[in-house]
Amino acid sequence: MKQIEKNLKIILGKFLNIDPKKINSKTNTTNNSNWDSLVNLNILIEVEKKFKIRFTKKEINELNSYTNYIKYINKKYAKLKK
Amino acid sequence: MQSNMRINEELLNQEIIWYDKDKALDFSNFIKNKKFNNQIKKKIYVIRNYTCEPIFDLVSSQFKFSNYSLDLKFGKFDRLLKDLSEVDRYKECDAIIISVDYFRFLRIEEKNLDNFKKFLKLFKVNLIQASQSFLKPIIIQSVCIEKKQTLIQKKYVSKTYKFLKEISKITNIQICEELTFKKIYDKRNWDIAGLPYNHESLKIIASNFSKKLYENIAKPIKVIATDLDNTLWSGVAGDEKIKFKTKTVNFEEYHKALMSLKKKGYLLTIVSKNNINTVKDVFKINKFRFLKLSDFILIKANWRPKSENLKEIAKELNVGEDSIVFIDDSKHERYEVLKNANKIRVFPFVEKKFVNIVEQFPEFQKSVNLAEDKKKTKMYLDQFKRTKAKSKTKNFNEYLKLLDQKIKLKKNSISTLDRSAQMETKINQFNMTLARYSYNEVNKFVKDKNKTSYLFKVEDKFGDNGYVCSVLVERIKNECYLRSFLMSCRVIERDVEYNVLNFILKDQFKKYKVEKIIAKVKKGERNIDFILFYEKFGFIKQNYDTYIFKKDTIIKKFNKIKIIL
Repeated sequence: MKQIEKNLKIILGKFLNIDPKKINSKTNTTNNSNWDSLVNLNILIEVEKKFKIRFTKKEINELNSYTNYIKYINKKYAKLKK
Repeated sequence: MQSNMRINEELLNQEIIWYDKDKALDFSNFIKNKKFNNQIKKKIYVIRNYTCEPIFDLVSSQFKFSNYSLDLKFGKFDRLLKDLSEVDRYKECDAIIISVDYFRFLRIEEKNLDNFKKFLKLFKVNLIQASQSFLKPIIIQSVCIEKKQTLIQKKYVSKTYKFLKEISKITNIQICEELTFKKIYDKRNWDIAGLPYNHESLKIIASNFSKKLYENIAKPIKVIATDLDNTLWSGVAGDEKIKFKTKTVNFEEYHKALMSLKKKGYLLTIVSKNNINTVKDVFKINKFRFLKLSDFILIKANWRPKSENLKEIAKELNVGEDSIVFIDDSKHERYEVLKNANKIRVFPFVEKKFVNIVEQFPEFQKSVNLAEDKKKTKMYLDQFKRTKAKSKTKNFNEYLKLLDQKIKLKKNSISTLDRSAQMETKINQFNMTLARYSYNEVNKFVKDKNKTSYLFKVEDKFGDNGYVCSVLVERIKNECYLRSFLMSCRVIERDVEYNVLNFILKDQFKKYKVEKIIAKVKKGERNIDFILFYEKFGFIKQNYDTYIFKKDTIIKKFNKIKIIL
C-alpha cells in the first residue's frame, strides 16, 4: 500500500514539476496549474506502465486528483487479486 | 570545461536507456528538463489539428543528443487552414511541420461530406500557396484516425495522398513516411487528450519525424568512425582469439549495417587503440563475410587519445568535426571524445541493439541516393592522391600541370537538375549569393528563355570530381545577373572558378548579346573567404554588394583549362 503511494508521488512529482514530498491528498487538477490534460495523459501512461494496469475511459474521466489515482489503482489491484 | 560539454557523465550513464524501446519515454522525461550549452538553436513551427506534443517531446530530446535545441511552437487545433494561409508570419522559422488528421475536420463539421470536400480543397490550395511563400522546408505528415470511413471518404483521402506525393516532387514540401504497422491508433488516448496514437508507437512516429527534420535542418553526417575490439568483433585482437559470434551477439549484423551505410554514401573509418599490423593481420586471417579492410578509407590504429585521431580524420578528409559519428563500446573512450572533441557525435555500441539504432537515428538516414553520393568513397580516395601529389610538386603551376584538368559543361540540362538543386542546399563555402533555390526554381532556370543554368564537371589525372560547380543566370533586357554561383570545396584553388566564370561571360556576351554582367554577393558565416572572388577576377565594385563587368574590362591572368561541351 505504502509502496503504491510512494511510486505515485514520484510520478506525479516528475510531471507536475514539484517535490514529491509536497504531494498530499489535496493535490488535484484544479489547484495545480501544471496539471492539464496533456500532462494527465503522460501521468496516465506512466502509471499504467509502472503498475501494469489499464484504465477504462470512464475511470480516466475521474482521474483528476492524487486521491482518485490511489483509489482506482487500489480498485484495479483488488480486482486482480480476485 | 564541464559546463561547455554537450553530454555529461550522468547523461552518458542514462543514455543506454534510450536505446531500449520501452524506456524511451523515461529518458525523454529525463533529458527534457536538462539544459545544455552551445547547442545550435532551430526554430520550428508546427501547424496541426491534433495533439502532437508528446511526439515532439521525443523528437526534441533526440535532437538534444545531436547538439540541436529545437524551439517548437504549436498552432492551435482549429486554426490549421488559417495558419497555412499565414505562413509569412513564420519566416524566421527554419522549418514548418504540418501534422494533419483529415477526419478531425469531418468530426467537427458533423460528418458532412460537402464540408469535408471543401476542407480538402482549401487545404490543397493553402498548401501550394504556403510552399510558394515559405521557401525553407515544409514537412508534412498526414493521418486518418477515423477507422470507419465510407468509400467516398476513402477515395477523397487517397486522392489527397496522391496529390501530396506529386507536389512533393516539385516543391519544398516533403512527406513523412507513411506508417505501415498495424497498431498505432488508440481510441482512448484520442478521446481523453486528442492524441491519436498509443504510447508504444510514439517513439517510432517520433523517429520518423526526426529523420525528415534532420535531413532538412541539420548538418549531414559524412563519416562514420568505428572502434574495433568488442565492437567489430568480440575479444581483444593480439591478446586473444577474436570471435564474430558469441552466445548473445552476432557481430556480423553490425558489419552488414556498416556496409549498408557505406552504400548510402557514408565514409567508413577505423579509430582504435591497437597496433596497425595487428589490425591488418586480423583482417587477413579471419574471413569477414561482409566487410573488407579496403572498405575503410582511413585507419587510425595507434595508442594516442581517440579524440586526437578523430580530429585528424576531420582534417585529412576535409570535413567538419560535426559531420563525424564515432561508435565505441567503452564508456571511457566515449567520454574522452566528448570531453576533448565535443562537436563529434558519439554513439555507444549497444550489443544487439545497434541495428535498431541505425534504423531509428536520423544521423544514419539519407534519403537521396544519387549516383554522386555512391561514388563518394572513391572520390575521397582520389582526393588523397591529389594532396599527396601537391606536397611533392614545387609550385602551384607545376601542380596544375600535373593534374591535367578538363571541365565538362551541361547547359540547361534536365537530367542533372537533381544535382543542381542538391548543390543549392548543400554548399555553404563557395556560395556567392546564398540564394538557396529550390528544385522548382532551378527548374525555371533550365526552362525559361531569359534564364540559363550551367553545370560543370571537373575531371583530372586522378579521377572524376563529379558535378562540382553550378551557375544560374538571368537576363533582363541587356543586363545579365549572376543569380547563383556555387562550387564544391573539392576543386577550390585549382583555377576552376576563373575558367568557369570566363566561359560564362564569353557565352553571355556572344550568344545572348548582353552588354553588362551584374553580380551580387551576400556575406554569410562561412563564405567570407571567397567574398572577393569577383573583384579578383576583374569585376568593378559598384557598391557594398554589387559588382559589374563590361565587355572591355580587363580580367585576371589564370591557368587556362579546356572546357568541353
